[in-house]
Amino acid sequence: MTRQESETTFGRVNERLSSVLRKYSDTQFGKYALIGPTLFVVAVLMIFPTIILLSYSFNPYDQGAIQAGSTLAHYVRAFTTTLYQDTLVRTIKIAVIVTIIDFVLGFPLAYAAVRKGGWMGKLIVIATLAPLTIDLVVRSFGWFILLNGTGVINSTLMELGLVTRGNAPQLLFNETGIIIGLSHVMLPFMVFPIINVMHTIPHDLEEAAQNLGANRLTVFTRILVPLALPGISAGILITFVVSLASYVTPALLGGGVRVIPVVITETFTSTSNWPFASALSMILVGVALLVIIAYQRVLKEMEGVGGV
Amino acid sequence: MDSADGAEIAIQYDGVTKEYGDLKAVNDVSFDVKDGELLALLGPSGSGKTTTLRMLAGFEKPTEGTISLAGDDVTHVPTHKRDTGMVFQDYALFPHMTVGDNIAFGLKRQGFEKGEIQERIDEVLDMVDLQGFADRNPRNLSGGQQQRVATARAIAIEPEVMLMDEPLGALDKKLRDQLEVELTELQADLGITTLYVTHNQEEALTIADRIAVMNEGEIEQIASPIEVYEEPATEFVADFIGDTNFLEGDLHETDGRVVLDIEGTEVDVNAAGVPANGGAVFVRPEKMNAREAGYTDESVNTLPGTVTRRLFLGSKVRYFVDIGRNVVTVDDSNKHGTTLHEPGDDVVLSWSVHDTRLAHG
Repeated sequence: MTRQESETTFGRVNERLSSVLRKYSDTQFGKYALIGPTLFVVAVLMIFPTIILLSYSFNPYDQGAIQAGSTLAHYVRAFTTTLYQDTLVRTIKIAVIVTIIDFVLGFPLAYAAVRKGGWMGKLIVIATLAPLTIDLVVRSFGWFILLNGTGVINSTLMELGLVTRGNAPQLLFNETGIIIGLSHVMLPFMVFPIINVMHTIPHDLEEAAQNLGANRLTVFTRILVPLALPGISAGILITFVVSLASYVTPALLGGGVRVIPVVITETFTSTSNWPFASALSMILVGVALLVIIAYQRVLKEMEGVGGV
Repeated sequence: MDSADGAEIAIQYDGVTKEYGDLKAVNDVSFDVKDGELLALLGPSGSGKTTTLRMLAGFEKPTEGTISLAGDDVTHVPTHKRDTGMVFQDYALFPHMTVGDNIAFGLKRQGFEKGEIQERIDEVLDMVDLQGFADRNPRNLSGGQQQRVATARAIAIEPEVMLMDEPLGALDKKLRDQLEVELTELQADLGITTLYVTHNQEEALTIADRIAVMNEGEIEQIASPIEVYEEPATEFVADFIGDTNFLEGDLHETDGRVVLDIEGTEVDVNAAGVPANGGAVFVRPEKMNAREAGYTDESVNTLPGTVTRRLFLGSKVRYFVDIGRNVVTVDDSNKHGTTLHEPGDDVVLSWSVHDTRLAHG
């Protein structure tokens, strides 16, 4: 077969395949066949284990063993014990703060990446993406070097005479450490959805608004935010939910300060009280679901009202 | 500030240059626009006309020079504090707002009351003939309607000057012709000073009080449409505006006359002298007539040639005539009694000395 023949044959097969796919996706069976593999993965790896955890969370735990039966005792314990209450509040608080920090840092980054274009834009994209290629654990150890008591940041501050050894800020093994580390980890998840939507907003809309007398703040609140809302809301939601559930960074940078995922892991691995650990997991899933649902409600409301 | 003839000067560019790296997009441009005047910036793409306009809006900062608005130096005033109303080529309507809210946007920034804003919206929609469109979504409007909304939004804030960047460029010919008329009527009614960017010479000739022809970042000529067409200052202007026949030959001065020698035939040129750097002699196609071979007339310029092609265009007949050094275009009007020449026919071209122009190189 000559090169040309093979190309036309390939072209024909390709054409045929896409027409079959098009025809299929119009039928009921075709639709399910196409999303089937994804559905299967989600069902087996996500929903099925979650159902197992859910059922565990109602099992009584007595004398170091899981008992048959059904009880709400683990949920009651989680919500009435100060330690767990505080941990849950701290987990949500950290996720909220990280989300706010990442929006404040991420929006200008995304804006600059799109509007500056050229090598500047590419540099921002690469700099934002690059950390994703490095393992979480390695990145956390990087923060150790920067943040610890005699680390780069504190020793620089001491050199500059801004702080002394006695009153140097503690940046590691507390909430601050977790927030700094997580904000770094989560930044790309905020930046990229906003970059995507920013590409769809013509620059002359901003110029038109300025021309009509809008200052930078008004352009941001009346033009950019309403038009970038799909990307902003995706970024905020992903950042919040993933921060809520993140384990590695808080475990390494939090020291004795724990968040729920760390407590869940410790309970699973160092005690045999799986039912209680499962209940904590379900509470975390519940919080995330509640936020997602409430969030979508609010967004729908905002869409109805329109941008002004 | 007053100009020589007493009219107020609304816009003044003084030695304005804009550089992007090594590229001079606009090079030492100076001009005035009188109050109520419509000045068209005309030129091919890359000539710097849009950059010139955008500097007045404040979207670009001049590298050198000053720009004044109503006598005040606005060179370093931020965009939102400049009193200009801009109409963009793709209209730049806010897609998340209704037509009314688009128009209200500028009024809100100026601090108008709700009732006043509503009145003003109705008023400007009436001006652009879009009564009752306030609640419509701009995305659902036709191109022509979107253009009108963009115009309404810009005039609603009653700006000192209107800036229009190819406002009709995205529309088809018929709609463009109609909106050209409507825009100029509206502009004249409001008496609003307008800077109008276009690459379309017909549009510029139709709507402008004066045209500034731009090329490679510089203004080649700034004059009325008639002057720009009839007496182009440079070869570029003669070539860019309208159809032009450049005549090749030896240009010299004899007995106080400027003469172009084309292969032994002398043609008188309507010029006071031969410029130092030479110049280009040209005649517009409609100024020439194609006569029978052997035609003579001492009072006009004549030149023998051969018809190579004929286009019958209804109201006129276009001939391509080989005159030896080059081929010229001749437009004969299709009046009663005109005899048509056939390709291959020998003819004599005749045109008045007055229409034999000299443009600087």
